[in-house]
Amino acid sequence: MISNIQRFCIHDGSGIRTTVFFKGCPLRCAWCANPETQHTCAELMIYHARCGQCQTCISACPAHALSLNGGNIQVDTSQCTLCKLCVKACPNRAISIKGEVLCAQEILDIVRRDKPFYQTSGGGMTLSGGEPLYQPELALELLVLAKKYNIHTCIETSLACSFSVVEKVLPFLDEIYFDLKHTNNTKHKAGTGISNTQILDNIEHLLKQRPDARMRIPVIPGFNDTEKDILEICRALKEFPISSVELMWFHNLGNPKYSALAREYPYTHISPFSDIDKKKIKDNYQANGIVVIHS
Amino acid sequence: MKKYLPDGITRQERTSVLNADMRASIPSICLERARLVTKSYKKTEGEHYLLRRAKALANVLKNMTIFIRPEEIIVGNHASKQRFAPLYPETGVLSKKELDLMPIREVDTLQITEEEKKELLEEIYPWWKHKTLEDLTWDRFPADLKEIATSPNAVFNALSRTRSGYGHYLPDIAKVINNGFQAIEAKAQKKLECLSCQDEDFTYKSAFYNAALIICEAVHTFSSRYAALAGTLAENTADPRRKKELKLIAAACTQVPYHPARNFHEALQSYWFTLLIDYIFQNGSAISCGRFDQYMYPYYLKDTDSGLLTKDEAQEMIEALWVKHNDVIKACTYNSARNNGGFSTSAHLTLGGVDKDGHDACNELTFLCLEADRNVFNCEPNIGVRINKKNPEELPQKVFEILGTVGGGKYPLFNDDVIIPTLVKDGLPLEEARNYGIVGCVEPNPYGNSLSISNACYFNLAKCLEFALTNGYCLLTNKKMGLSTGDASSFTSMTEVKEAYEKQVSYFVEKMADSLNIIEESIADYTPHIYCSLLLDDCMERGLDSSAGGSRYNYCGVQGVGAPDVGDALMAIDKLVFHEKRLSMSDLLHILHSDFKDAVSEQNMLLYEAPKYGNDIDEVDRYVRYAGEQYCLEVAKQKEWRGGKFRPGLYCVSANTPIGRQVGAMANGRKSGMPLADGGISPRQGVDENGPTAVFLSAAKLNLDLVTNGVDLNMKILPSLAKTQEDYQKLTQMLRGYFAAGGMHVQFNIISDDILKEAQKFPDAHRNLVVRVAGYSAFFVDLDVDIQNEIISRTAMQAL
Repeated sequence: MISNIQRFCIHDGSGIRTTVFFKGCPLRCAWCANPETQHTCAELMIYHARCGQCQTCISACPAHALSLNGGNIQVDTSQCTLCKLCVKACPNRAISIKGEVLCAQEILDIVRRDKPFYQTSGGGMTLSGGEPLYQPELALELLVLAKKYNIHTCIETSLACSFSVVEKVLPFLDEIYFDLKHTNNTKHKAGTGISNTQILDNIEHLLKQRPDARMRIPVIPGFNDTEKDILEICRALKEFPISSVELMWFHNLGNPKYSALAREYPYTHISPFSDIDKKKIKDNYQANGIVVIHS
Repeated sequence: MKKYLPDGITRQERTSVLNADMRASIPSICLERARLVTKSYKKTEGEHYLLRRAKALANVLKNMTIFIRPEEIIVGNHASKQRFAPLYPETGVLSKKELDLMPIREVDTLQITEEEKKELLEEIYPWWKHKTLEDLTWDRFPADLKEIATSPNAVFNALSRTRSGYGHYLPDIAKVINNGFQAIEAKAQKKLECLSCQDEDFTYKSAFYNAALIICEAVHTFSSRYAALAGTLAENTADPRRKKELKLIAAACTQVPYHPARNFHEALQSYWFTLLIDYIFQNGSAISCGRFDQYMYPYYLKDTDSGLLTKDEAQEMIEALWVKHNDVIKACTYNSARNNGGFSTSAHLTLGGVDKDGHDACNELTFLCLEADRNVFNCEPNIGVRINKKNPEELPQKVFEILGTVGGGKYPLFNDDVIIPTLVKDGLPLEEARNYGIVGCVEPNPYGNSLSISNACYFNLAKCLEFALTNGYCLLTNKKMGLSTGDASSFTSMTEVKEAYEKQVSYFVEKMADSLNIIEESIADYTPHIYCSLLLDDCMERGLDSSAGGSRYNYCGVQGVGAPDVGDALMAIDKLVFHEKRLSMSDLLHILHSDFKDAVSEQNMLLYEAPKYGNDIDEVDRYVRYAGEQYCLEVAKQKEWRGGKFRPGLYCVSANTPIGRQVGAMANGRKSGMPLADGGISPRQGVDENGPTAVFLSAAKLNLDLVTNGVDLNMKILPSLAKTQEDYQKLTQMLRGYFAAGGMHVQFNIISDDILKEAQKFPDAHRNLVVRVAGYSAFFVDLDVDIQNEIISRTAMQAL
């Protein structure tokens, strides 16, 4: 199950890349900017800002799953059959369905198209999500196929899986990014819904085999951005040992996606970091002996 | 410490004074040229037109108001005041309605007083009745071409050429810088002495050489007047620093352009006079500059090497010259201003590329020119950059860096590795192909030897598809305008649709060529381009004016507009009517006639359920390729009057908006009157959903070999993508990928929609905002509101 294939990604690995967003993730990070990639099933998204409230979609729906409620079109997911008739009927293109089952070859046929740009930039395919290793067979197939086509490969993973899954894909990966939300297990559970024990173990194993793998930390306001948090994280990193990280700053661009999915976003009103905040946080990491790169 | 110029003012200070002075001027109509030309023409009645033209120019150069603005270091003005537009009554007159509109129209607004209007309409214009090129050409038009020329929503409008003149070519400015007009004068003198009375073209040739002599002498007088003025100003200036500068100006104007330039300053001054006089001579735009970083480099190198000039001073003088370029504005008719807009003359200045041996030609001056433009950043000159595999990465990166830091859009990028072979295939020797420069917006041409006329006409491809579906009737007026190609509701296959479309294109292309040939012959007879002829190889040798075919190569560029729209529409018909049979042909025709009234779901189906060009989808890209290819092949069949070639282009500057107004609803879901796809080969606004690489790959699939007059692909990039050195590298890699895939041209516009919207509300706060309007740049706030909105609607490529 794939959420999206996005060409011309320039922040997900080296060069110009095509990123395959897997749909489905074992984590439920409260700040997640890609909520549509959390569940493994296809989902209807209604962008209210585009909606003209003409109700054409309501008449088009054979399952009577749509209704106008408090000025917004709403979907009753228990009735919706994802038949796409509302998507086609909407004059404003406010409705879309996220989630498509594609086979590895179909995905690679799209990925391969940008080969001229991979060649000039050293780019290639990135597996992201969601969690690509949550669908280990598809991830492996894609990587094997990419290597067959001589395409550079990269993964962005939370490492929330058994290490045997990680081990299988490693030989086919040119570039690896893994992210860690917090080293404190209580905090990790509170923020992501799961324990970090397996993740920390996996990091240790991974770095033994692939010292080139790079760590990223999403910096989330009120979650891991205080001096105390940073001190704790840095101490733990040095144990691995990890000497440098990339910081990924919280942004609330995922906001409209939550409303399109009719979900609450606890971070709706949280502002992104200012440049001053960012500098303070970076300095904090550096002061604790961790080099911050590319952030 | 300066070396050539006196100390006391920095480069930044001078540029800021010059720019502020230029931008503060209020564009207005200037009557002076019209008076002087009329006076001269009255005296020369009965003489050969070559002589009449030369004498008219001489009268202007000897008597027009000249001035030197504060802190100018390069001098020479276009009209009686800065950013005033001279008039060209010999080509055509402006009606009272047009003149009344000038000060109040929202685009290219020009001030004119009631007294001036009165003088024009009552004293100057009446004498020109039946004497203008426009009138005389009209008399030569046969009835069928007159009918097309006067129809609203016509497929092409050739007649505007008579008024706008040629422009659009690459004069050999380098020759003047190196040898001076004295060399041209000596050659004309010699040819005249050798001309035998028994020569079968004795009358013509003797007029030609005599006209050449008149012009050379007048050019000398013109520059000498500036020398004298600078001398007087120097005497009357107390400031010792400015006094010294004025003396340098006086010395330069005494020397050039009549004599060869002796240093970098004189080379720049010679360049400006040579180009400026052509703009004074004719009403055409896009008289272009060629490879400035190549022919100026020896002067730069000599002066910097010998310690006469610092690098910063060189840049200071280049910046002063760049500001000067914006002095040239023309008084266009309202329609023409709406098509182009923004007072852009599109004097294209080409940088980069390879030398005649195929080696990287980038030098220090290439980068200095770009740096200078970063600081000046006006719409003129229109700087284009040739990108060759052999050019260093620093070249494209520099372009992205400037665009990223200044914002806006400039610097069209041209793929040498596609254009050079295309020109060779078109018949140019390899060395000449390697020395190509860009004319106007995107048109590649050999340097200094062709009257390119590269922007002769736009051709509405979308209208031809309309006629193919309506049996020749205009959807907007219901008037029969096209060929009868059969009732489309009876068509049962794409073959029939395409056959009907091809017949319409073929018919109108021939009519366009006929119209242009009549116009060209008329221009040669009544308004020969004698000044241009002195700057183009072979004219002097042959004693034949460039307008009559004197230059080595003769081209006439005609642009197909709407290939992406036609391709998308054909795709929708193929898929939804014939393949999936979800819509009958007669239903489709009914929907198009009613402009999608009560047919939202059908319009949605046409819009969203047929693939669209710009997404790297082969089946639809093939249709756009077909539309472009078929047009180019038809154009190539036509015979050009001067024995040259009609060259097809696929670009439209910003004419996709006005041309779109003339096209009814289309099968790609586009509503009646909406703009066509911009640029010429850009995808339709908003349909490119797969990002810039997909747009590039779609564009690279076109048969660019055939499009010898150039294409225009616009790519809008949000500022967030162009902030760091790493971003510039990635954008460079993207460009290299596009060019490696076979792309010919791209124009980046790095800008945010919010800024544009704000600029619409508060134009005065955004006077510095320069945008590329599909192939050339203009001040955003000067543009027609429709075009502004169109720019805003173009897909902003985001990569979050």
